[in-house]
Amino acid sequence: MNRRAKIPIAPGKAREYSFDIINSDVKYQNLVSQLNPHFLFNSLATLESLIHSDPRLAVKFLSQLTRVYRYILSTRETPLVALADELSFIKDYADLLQTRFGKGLQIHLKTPSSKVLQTQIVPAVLQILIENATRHNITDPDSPLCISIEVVGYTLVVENNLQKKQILEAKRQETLQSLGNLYNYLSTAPLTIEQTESTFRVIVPLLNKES
Amino acid sequence: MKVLIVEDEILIAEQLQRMLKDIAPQVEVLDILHSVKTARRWFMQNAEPDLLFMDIQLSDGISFDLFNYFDIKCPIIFATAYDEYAIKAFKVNGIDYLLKPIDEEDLIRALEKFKALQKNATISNELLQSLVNHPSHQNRIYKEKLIVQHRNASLPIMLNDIDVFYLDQVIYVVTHDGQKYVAEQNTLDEIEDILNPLEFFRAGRRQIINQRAIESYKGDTSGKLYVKLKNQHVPEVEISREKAPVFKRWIDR
Repeated sequence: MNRRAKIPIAPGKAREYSFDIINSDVKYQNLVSQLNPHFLFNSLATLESLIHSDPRLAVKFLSQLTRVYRYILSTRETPLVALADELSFIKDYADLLQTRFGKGLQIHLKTPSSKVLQTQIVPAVLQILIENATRHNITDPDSPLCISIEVVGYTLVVENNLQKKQILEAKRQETLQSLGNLYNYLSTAPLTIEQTESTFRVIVPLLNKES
Repeated sequence: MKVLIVEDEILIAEQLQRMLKDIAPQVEVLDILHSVKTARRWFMQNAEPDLLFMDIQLSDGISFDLFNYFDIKCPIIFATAYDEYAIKAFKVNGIDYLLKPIDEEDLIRALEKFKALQKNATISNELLQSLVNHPSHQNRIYKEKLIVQHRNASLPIMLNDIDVFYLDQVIYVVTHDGQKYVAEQNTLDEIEDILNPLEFFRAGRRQIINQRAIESYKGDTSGKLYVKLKNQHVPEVEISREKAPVFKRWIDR
């Protein structure tokens, strides 16, 4: 899967979807986008620490955590959201992780043009991809995990350096597989995964709203 | 009380340190380590702490991995955000399991549990000491010689001159000057019974070695020890991971 997918010059089309057909998958998507409990409890533990060591940062951290949860809850029933909303959510999420992991994690996010910002994306897909990367890879100041999020044509390319670590394998369905299935239902353009020895890349199609 | 914290999120580790300072001022936090890699380096260079606080998933792997490299004996309090790995934690001398953010009451209870265990350990150590120093042991007079059969005659040899007893179908006795005899006894247990435990060490199922015969010993990463004897005729004696600490205490008197 070394070959890079062709860069689309137009957004993919959102399929006409009926909740009946996609109901089970949308439910699954809700399941994955309910933030992982590790994230919640580690964030709360971080917040506790900040309350003592840096109350100003604690307040900021709390606002970001609140916005992240509000977004997750409010988009539960929504198959697609504007990229602009997803990106402002992901900035908060990335900031939370940054505060926790320090130099062990670097997230680079390039803000795209306003035209692209109006395209559609599955809510929390970026959060799922970032979580996936931090879960499987070393996030150590000595060898940081670098995640870049960049718009290429009408796709969003999420890429990270591969440095796998041993993890406790919780019994979870393949998250990326489910995301792929969901995109097959929702759009004419597929979600693709490209992996080399040193990098892992997910290409998320950006969609046009149903008219 | 010396404590080591192994936790990959520095802010969470600092909070634990603050809480420990508040509720147990006698605690000295030796170090905060954030990865399996740094923890491995630490355990190679330092003596064990009195108590270890440890997260399970670390920034570069799983903390249980440490137990594949070291025979960590100190009690461990695990602290995790959310998980179902408590059972494994207790297999590796975990004494408690805390959930993050750590509740102060839970931490106090965990420390009390640690103190209670420590007290018990001290009592059993004292008991052991009193048994070892018991008059019946102290005054026991050990044999000086062992009779072996040699060329159809009985030959008394000084126990002091014996470097090693080893079992290979029969029990061989190798003396300091390189002579090899066959002992009359059938098992090493019988031999062990007549030997002074301060002088001789049962290195495993097959050997008993004399402390005077030991030239040097070294360990490997699995925790085993290899003992080299002054006697050139005897190959290196291997001591299992489990017996290694007993050997070290015995030799270092």
